[in-house]
Amino acid sequence: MISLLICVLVTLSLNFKIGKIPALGKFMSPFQGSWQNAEKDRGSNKMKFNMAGLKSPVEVFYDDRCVPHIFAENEQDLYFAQGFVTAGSRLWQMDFQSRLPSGRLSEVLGERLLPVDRKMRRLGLDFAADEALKFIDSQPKIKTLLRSYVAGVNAYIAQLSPKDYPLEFKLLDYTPENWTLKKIALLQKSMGHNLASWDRDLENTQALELIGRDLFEEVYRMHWPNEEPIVPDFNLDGEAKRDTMSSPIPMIPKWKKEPKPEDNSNTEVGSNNWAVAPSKTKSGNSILANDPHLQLTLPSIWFETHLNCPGQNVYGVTLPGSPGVIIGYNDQIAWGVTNGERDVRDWYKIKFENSTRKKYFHDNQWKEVRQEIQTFKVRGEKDFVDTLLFTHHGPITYDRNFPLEGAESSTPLASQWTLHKPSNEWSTFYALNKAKTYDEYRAALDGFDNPGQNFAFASGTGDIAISHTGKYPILNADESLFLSDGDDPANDWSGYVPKSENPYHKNPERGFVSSANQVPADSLYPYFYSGNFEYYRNRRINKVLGAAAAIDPSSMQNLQNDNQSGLALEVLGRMQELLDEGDISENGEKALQLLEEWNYMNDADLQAPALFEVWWAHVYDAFWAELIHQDKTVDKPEDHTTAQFLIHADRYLKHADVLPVHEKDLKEIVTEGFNEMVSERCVGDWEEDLKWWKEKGTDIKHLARIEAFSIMDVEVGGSRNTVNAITPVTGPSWRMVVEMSSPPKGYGVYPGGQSGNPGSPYYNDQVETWRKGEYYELDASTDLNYWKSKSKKMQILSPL
Amino acid sequence: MRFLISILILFVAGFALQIFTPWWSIVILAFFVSGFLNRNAGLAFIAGLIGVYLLWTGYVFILDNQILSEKLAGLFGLPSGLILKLVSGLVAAIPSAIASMSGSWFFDLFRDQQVRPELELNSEPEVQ
Repeated sequence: MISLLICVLVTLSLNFKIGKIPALGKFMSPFQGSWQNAEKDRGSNKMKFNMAGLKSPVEVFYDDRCVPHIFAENEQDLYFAQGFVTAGSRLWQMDFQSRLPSGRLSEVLGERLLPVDRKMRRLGLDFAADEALKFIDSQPKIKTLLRSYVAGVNAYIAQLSPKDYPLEFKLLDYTPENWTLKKIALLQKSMGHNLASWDRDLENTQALELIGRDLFEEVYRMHWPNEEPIVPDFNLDGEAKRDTMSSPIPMIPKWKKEPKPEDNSNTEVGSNNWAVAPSKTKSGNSILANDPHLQLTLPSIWFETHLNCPGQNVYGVTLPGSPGVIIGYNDQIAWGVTNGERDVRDWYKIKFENSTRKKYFHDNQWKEVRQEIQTFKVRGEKDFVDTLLFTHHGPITYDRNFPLEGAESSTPLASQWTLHKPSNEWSTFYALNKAKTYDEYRAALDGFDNPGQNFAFASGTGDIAISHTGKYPILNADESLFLSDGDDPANDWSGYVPKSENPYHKNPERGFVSSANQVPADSLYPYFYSGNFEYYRNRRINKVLGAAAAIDPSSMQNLQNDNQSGLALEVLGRMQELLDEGDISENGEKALQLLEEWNYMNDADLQAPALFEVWWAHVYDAFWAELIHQDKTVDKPEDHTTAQFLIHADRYLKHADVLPVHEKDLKEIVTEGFNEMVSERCVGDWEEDLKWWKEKGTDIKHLARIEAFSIMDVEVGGSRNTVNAITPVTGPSWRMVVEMSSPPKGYGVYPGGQSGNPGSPYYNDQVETWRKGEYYELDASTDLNYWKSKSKKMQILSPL
Repeated sequence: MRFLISILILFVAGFALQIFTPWWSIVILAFFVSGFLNRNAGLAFIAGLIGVYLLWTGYVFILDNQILSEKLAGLFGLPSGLILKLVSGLVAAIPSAIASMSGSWFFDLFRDQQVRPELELNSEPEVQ
């Protein structure tokens, strides 16, 4: 009997997930478990599916990288098949990524994710997705197409048996749920959160109090004399249209210890795009290039797809879970995006009538608070219930139940964010997928609100253009940069910049358009804006494009992989000048020699970039030591700001009390930084072992941070200040170059693979090509016979 | 003989059963098959272990594509996919072995009652 008991206990324990250990019996079973996910190439194979929801048959051909080429007879079937096919490769990713914005991670990962979930709901992402859905109700055409995509995903899920579930479902022991319109909206809002949540209201308010307005305006300035705006001379003739009302800045709660006011992890996210006019290319066709720098993950953010039906033939990358191509080209036009980087969120301090929190003060009266009960399912625990409070500004994120981390008091803070406003970004991509002309491209951008993007454009007829797109509130500086009093109507947004007044230009004289997250327009642009703007990459791109002639796709690929560090180019000379060489060890001499011979390229195998970056980090920390270490709640100043302070130190002498701007002080921190760098890095076999890629440590991590499914320490160069902007966690998530010949010739690669299954040969097969800076030829052929003879795997989806 | 038959039945019937039922059905099968056929609890244990181990491990080797096993080995902190493949059969084999042993003892409860009269019959002629 005892042995029977032991047997039952052992079996039971192997049948359930215990902590982080998967349900071993289920998971290791070759019949239902993970081994079923070992994908093999089975020679040629043809699969037929009969399913409700289709009007006509759809043919899907997979090429040798497993890119689906989908041929349908109408748009609804096309999106249905896109849903079906995408789910076939990326179902778990879709599920997981839609859980984050909706605050539903603890449902599958347990209590430790509850704070993340609560924050997402309190930031209003789930609320924003609901708002977007209401808006889509008024756009029946788009709604029908979104529904087709959803039906396609669900048709795929319906024909799965548990043994076919993606590996991660088995590992985390849960089952896929049906796809919905809401999940499409959630993914869109998640992208908005990733790209358009940059604001520094709380940090700035703290900084202002700490260093005063004079220094604040120097340390956190947006415009620099050398800046090269995306649209250089955007002329809106007329005086300032910004709202000039200015109100006193409220004091904010004091922090006790290292608070983290907002998730500031996304500052490395950025992108490049450009288009070159026929006058500058070898072939006389325009060329477009785009590389969005996002989190490096497996499965990749992108899924490559070719969509064809009467009226459209479009190729590019899609976001798993959402219909259409996001970045790509069709037979007539190509387009690509970079992040607009503008601050579109403002924080307000809220005053409640009393502790029931039913009313808040605004415009001299007590107004109703809308209360919403939020329930969180938590794996292995009881449900957690939270109350969400809404003001007319937006949801209250921080309050007594969810205080700002590290804050002494729990002042309620609400945010107003363009992300919360109803919008329909799919209308833009749907229209771009089919657009044939510049005018159709411009019209497509009308519906695009958030996250604000720079859309570059090139056409087969030789037009090039770039448009800074999005919904931007009309702001005054103080309201936008700092925490505002929520009771003063003067602090409310007074309206939005008309879309026609967002900077854009077409066929400029210089023969190219470009953007790399820099300021969209110069300081004469009549609307106030702030943001997380880039300073080095964009100028390198403009310099190379400006000087180039007879451009071809391969020279554009080289530019995407360019490792020249604008920061080093600008500041290394000054650092060498300040270095006191009397005080240097033998290894230091060698290091200095390497730096003197360096060409400023952050190439993977060089020592010099590692030496420079470490040295720079020490100088940076020492330079801001007093400012930052005094109070860690202020935002870290930009590298390029720091470089300007170093180079033009004499301009800042009046701030010598808090910053080491005297030549003597600078010499000291630069020399000390150098010696620290030498003592840390120039040890042992450093001349052999020290490499930039090792120093940097770029990882491509699995979405659930499972290390066995990740690729660690990828041998790549680049930095956040190079065109090839590969940082430890972000980088070119898709590199695309398209020459607009007839038909267009596309080249592309991304750091991952088409399959989301870690057990598939297509899980990470493109990483090595990406690492080496090479490209695949993209094939948007419309010839069905060609695909029939070429592809080994095909699927035929037929109506019932 | 019964020992070998029980291994064979576990292997064949186990395969058919496992395609349609959860993984733990093999443990129940082992309890009945190996437990019923093997009077010696030790032999039952070994039959359950071998039969189920061969079934699972064999199928794992057929399914694997050398990519998955390496990833899963990393997940469990094992040095190679081969080791994981060799170990993974034990997940079902060990509970099945214990089940077989339990089964053997369990069926003994009934066997004893049937066997005793037989022994008495056999002993009678000796007395004469």
